[in-house]
Amino acid sequence: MNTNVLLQVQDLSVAFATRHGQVAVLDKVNLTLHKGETLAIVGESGSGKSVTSFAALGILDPAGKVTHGRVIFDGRNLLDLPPAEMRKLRGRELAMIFQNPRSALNPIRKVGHQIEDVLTAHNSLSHPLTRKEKKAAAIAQLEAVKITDPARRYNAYPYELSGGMCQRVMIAIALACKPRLLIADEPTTGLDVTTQVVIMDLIQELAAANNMATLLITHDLGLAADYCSRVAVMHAGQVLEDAPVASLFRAARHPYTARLMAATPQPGITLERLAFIPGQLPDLREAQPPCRFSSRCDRYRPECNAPGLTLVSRPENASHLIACRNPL
Amino acid sequence: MKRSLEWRYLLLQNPLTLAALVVFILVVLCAIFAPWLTPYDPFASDTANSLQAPSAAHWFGTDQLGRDMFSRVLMGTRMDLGIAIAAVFLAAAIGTFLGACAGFYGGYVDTAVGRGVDIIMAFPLFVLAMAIVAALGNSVANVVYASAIINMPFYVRVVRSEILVLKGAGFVEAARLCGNSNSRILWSQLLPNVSAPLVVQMSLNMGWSMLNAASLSFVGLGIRPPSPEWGIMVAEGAQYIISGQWWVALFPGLALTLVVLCFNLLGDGLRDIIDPRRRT
Amino acid sequence: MNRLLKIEQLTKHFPLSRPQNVLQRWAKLPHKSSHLYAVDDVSFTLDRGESLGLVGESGCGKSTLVRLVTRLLDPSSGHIIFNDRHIGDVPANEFALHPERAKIQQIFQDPTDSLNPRFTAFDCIADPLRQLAKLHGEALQTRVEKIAEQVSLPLTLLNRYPHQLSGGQKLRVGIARGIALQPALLILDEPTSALDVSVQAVILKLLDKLRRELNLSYLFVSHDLNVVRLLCDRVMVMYLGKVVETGPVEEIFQRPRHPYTKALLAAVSHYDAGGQVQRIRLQGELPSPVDPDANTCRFYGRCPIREKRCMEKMPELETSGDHRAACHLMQD
Repeated sequence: MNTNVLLQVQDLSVAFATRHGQVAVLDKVNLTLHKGETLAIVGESGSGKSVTSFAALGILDPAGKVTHGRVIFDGRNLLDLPPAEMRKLRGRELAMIFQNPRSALNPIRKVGHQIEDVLTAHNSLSHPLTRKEKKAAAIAQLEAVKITDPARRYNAYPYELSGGMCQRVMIAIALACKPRLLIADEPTTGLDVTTQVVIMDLIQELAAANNMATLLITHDLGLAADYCSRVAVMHAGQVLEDAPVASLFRAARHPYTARLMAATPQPGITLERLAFIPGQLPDLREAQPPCRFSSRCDRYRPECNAPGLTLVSRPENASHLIACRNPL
Repeated sequence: MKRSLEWRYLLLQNPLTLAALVVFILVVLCAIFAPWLTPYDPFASDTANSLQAPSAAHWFGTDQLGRDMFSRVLMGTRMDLGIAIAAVFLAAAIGTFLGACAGFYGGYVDTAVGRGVDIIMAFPLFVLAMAIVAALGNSVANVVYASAIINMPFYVRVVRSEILVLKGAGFVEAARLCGNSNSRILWSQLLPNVSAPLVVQMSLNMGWSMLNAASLSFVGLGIRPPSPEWGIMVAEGAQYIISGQWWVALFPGLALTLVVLCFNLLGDGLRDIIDPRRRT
Repeated sequence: MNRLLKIEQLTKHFPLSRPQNVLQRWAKLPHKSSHLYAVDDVSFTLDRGESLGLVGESGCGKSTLVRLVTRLLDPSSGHIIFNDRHIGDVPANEFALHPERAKIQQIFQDPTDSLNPRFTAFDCIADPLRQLAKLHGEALQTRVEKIAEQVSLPLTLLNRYPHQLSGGQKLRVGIARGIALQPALLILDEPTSALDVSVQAVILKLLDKLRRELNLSYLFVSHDLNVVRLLCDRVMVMYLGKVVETGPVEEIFQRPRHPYTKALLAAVSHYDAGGQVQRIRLQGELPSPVDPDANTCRFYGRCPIREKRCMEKMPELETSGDHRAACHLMQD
């Protein structure tokens, strides 16, 4: 096996028990993330992109169950790890930042103390830090995320900070223990566009400096194009296309990806040429055909729904994977 | 169609609430049909048969005047339930009006209503109820008024806080653009959204209000003997417990406990059902 | 005349400190009143059938400006002239009865929040018709159904409650309510920001179609410049209560003149541009809109090209031309 692989999601299937019965939210998701690489999972709401990361981190809602598959991080299957092991791994090796940073921070504690919490939780075993060292480390962390006047901001409460500033604090907390993988779930949704690019620049810069791999979960194709080296497109719990950015945006092969790109307002696209995707997300409570996009696809052929649909390499580019029997 | 299915589903998931609902319906039926269900005239005294222990003829025994306790407890349902329902509806109507105005208009209205509620809450509520009945005179209507006044602050608070949250919602602004006046927005757009917490509050309040009425008569205020009322019956029966005639106080007391418990369970259950945030 | 709306020197200041109470006055406590400058001296015009984009980041005053134009808020000073009538002088709480009320309507940002959860889709659309057009019974029914058809809302959905509708369907109900009274001015407050792209495209096309069919004027508020570009004829960029640049949409996109507009455009991703484009990054945070210095350019703290004179004299928006900006240092 390639030693350069950091995270590998293999045939991951997740089902949620609801009052309307079992809902197959993820269907055999496969993803590979190399060390230091930036991978984007792109999809519309309900595509299962967040569930994938939750399942990988072992923080699924109690109603959700992994029914099949493995999540291999650095040679170990995370799904087999005892909860205590997993807790140790989260925060130290795997970190996560969320949309809406303000609600992820404790509103009645100083942000400096919240950074120290992470340091205490994960560094106590080898050599316990003194209070002074911890404070210095927290301030250094604030400085690393380019917060102006970090010594003063150390004492700030979340409500005193703007949304962009709170997201910086969240990044500081996430990166406090120099994790090897950062999962960023819609980190800039809700922020202003000018703040959005600054935050993304920061994540990119810190990832490069620490040789950290990043899994960016977003609905914004443009953001994925600008900041990631690979993009996986998800729809209704399936990965439909997984390709390097250049290859994907030059020539998307899956009809869904192509439609999604044509539906995104871009300079040069007029309203008449703006595409839309017919139909709605399939109702996952019902049994699904092998290709869950088939009911919305204009390139559908009967053989599309023969069993055994998987991600396969394109003949012209081995790193361009696609799950479609009638590609563009 | 879809809504009723949802209700059935939720009730079956909460067996305790379902049981409480069944008891509640039985109690209401008892209250309505009491005159036709009583085996004896609840007022007819029969001194020859006074203080009889429970038997096949008199299921709950007889009291000091030989009146059939079962008939009296059954008739008491009518009185106590009637008072509780009247008091709760009166309190809810006034409290909702005041709370809605306070929450929606704010400013002086809010301050005035708020201070009024604070004044009521500053009294020990039962003492306030006693004072009101003592001042207005012993009658069923006055017990209802007293009960309503001490219950009202809870409705004011619930409705006010709900309206405060709701009035910032986008649909209020949209309603303004549609040409709705302030009062129309409050009464026909906002109030329907308050009904759920209001119903929960009313059902939780019902038991408390019933206890209140019974307590007032227990201490000799409000309803007068020989009216069959559980509070009076417990008070009258209390003097015979020491001489071994426990049934005179026990059965009306048990009836009261059962009904209040049923209201509380129903209220808790409704809150879980209506408020999806607490649903697990 | 073709002019529908003319805004002149519109200003809204929110007082932040409460007036002193009796005790404070008696104790002669010093009283300093501070104001939040939400909208500061804004002027613009809107023609019939025209679509004006209003762009700016959160806190720039665009929501306040919208609430002033929809007459839900009273301006501190300035004029709102709609259909040649001064409607800015009518107090907001009396405007519900004003004849122009029906002519200014809005489509709200959050389709869930802006529909009453206890109203069916039919009731939501019927609300303005009942209140302002005084329609009832059969006439109301036919009108609502006709409007639902206009926005392609299936009639079978009319008796559903908002929680039974999808995001796109809820937005259609909101659009139907907005056009029900055949307004002249429709204000769209980030209408598609809560939608997925696949649904967004359909809604944008619908909005464009409605504008042409009903000859509506749009005031389109958005932070998504790519969407503004699709739907608007002209754009107005706001920063901290002030208009910093305004002009025809392609002019602004091709040749932005104000440094803030440039930064805003640079932040938009273009994935078909091929490779990374050089980006202008704004440093620092949005400054406080409370009692700002009247002589310093509002953008001074974050401006990449600032000079000394920018804090000595507030740059004014140019008074002539189609494409106008407010900056001392513009290169033309």
